[in-house]
Amino acid sequence: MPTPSLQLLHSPLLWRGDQLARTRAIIPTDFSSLDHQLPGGGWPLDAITEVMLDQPGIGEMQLFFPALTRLLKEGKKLVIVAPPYLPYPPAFRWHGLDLSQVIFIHAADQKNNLWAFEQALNNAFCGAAFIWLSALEDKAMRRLQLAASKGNGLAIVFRPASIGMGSTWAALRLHLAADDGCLGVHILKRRGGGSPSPMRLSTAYAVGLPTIS
Amino acid sequence: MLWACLRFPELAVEVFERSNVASTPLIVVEQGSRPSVVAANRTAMQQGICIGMTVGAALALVSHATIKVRNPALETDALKGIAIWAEQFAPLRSLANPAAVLIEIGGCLSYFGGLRVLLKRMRDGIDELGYRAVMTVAPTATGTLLFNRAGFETTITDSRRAREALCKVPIQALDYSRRTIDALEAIGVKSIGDCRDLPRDGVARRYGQALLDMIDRAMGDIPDPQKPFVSPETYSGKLMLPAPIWDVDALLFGVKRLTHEMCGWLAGRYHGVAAMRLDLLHEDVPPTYFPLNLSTPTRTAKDLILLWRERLSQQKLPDRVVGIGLLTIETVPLDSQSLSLLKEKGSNGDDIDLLDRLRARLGDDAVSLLHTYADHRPESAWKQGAIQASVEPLPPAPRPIWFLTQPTALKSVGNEGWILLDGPERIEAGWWDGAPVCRDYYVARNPQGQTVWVFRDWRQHGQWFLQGLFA
Repeated sequence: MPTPSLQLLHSPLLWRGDQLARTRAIIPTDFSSLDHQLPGGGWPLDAITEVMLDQPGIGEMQLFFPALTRLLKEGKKLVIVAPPYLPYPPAFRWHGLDLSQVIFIHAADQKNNLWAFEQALNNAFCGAAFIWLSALEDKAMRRLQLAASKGNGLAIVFRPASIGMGSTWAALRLHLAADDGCLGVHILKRRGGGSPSPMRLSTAYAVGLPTIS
Repeated sequence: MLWACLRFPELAVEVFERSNVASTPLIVVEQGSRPSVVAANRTAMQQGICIGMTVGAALALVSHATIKVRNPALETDALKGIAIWAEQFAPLRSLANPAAVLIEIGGCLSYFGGLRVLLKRMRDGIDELGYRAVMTVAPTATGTLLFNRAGFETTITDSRRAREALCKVPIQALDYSRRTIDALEAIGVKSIGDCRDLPRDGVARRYGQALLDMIDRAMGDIPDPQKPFVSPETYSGKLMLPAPIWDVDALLFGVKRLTHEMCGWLAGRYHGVAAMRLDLLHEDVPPTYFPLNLSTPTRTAKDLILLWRERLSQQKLPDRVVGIGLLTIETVPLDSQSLSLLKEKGSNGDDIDLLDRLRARLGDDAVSLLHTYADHRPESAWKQGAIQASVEPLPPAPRPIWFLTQPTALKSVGNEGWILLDGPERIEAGWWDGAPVCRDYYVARNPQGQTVWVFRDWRQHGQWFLQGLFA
């Protein structure tokens, strides 16, 4: 049983100069090959993760469900802003998420969607926030990155890959593509540099039968 | 017992001034054959307006001053509002003449940590409401009122000292027939002490027993009951603006006043507000109503004001606003929390529930909670709204994350590139409510590499439809 002071050592709020990598706030993705390539060994909890997507429906959400399940078990909230389709409640329950912790936002314009996303990032009770965006000003992205740096939880921005791969304020940028029944993940930008070669992750239905439990 | 008296000498102007964010010159006049100034705000006073001036003279000095006719009904409402707000301090309150509220604070001194702390809280609170009070404390209600009317801003808790001090109070402070008081003064009776020195039977015969009773009540010699003020069961406050406005910040200034009043009422009942409504009264068009539901009931004024700010900043108003109303629709019991030393929730603005903050700005339609519903038909297996925990059985097979409420017809299923991964799952239901379905669902991969949920509709000759995407 670790004492409270020992727990403090692992808190993301504590920063020790000599151990930059260890104190980084992350949550494992549960995909070991991906964890291996991500700085700190998981999704960053104090930075924006930008996901460039060829098209929806290729397993992009599967990538985050293991981490989400864990975050929501801690009683945190999940905020989903401007998803491309109606998020189907039975599917969320199928993945073990408690729907009373999930807030869906569909505001009238992008300004309000961005505002809602930023509110979610600023809120300590919000464990994860997702937003789907196409065009985004550099300034707005920087604002989001600032809000995310408070370290309240997962901050995922989905953008269509078709808008091009300009520079980004996000700390982590991935490109997802369908790859012969698997999910092709290409890390385009990460803290610490380097761009590993694309990898294939098998999500559910990769082998033709449901593997979700 | 210990009574505090809060008297509001400038209530006539404060009922308008309290929502005057820019503090523009404002004068209150009494109607009559020769209307004259009965009250004016600080700005007007600084520009040379005096009480008793004719309206013409006042306007000659300050031509852009707002003129309001004195409104006694509004003043009474304001006084009641203060009595409602004061419920947070003590259960026994009473309205007194003129423009005063009496509060029995003897029973709650230790709860608030002593007289000084309590008086400071009251003074700060009154300031937030937009009033200025003359405050006195004495062991009897009549006594504290006498001190207050005489302008002795004293706080006396000891009854012997209170009696001594009361003897020095001028007889003019008594709320009694003007003629009698003048007659007493004419024979050299200047103070209450002088009056007590006179033979009692003679005073009673000449000036009435009621005069002696009043002094005895103040001294604490005979019981001094007060008519208790009873707060309404729901809060409903109203505020008239000095001039019609568009500006949201100016509006919020008034909303703030009412919110503080409401929170005092809530604190007195150990309740939190779960639903409330803001009414904006316009000049020519019907009022605009803003209902606001809170998922986490609260009575913290700061948080509620923040929510109103979000809500109002997003609104287009149909007309200028002349008045504000705030009322509670639903309140629920809430444990005491404001006095706790350590905040249990996180810091920096997390005190308001995220959901409430989002709803306040984006509106209820843009923010939704969803839950599952026990129905085999996929389009009926979910509903809007929050419930604590879904207990419906899970569907027998995985469901897609993205759902198309209107399935789109597909022509090419079965062609080159399509792979059926799982299925069929037969769903045949709904014959009882007029929306029957008979479908075979499959999980498939389309030529673009998306994993999709498709079905053959046997009520439409086996036509293929796209129902969702497994993201």
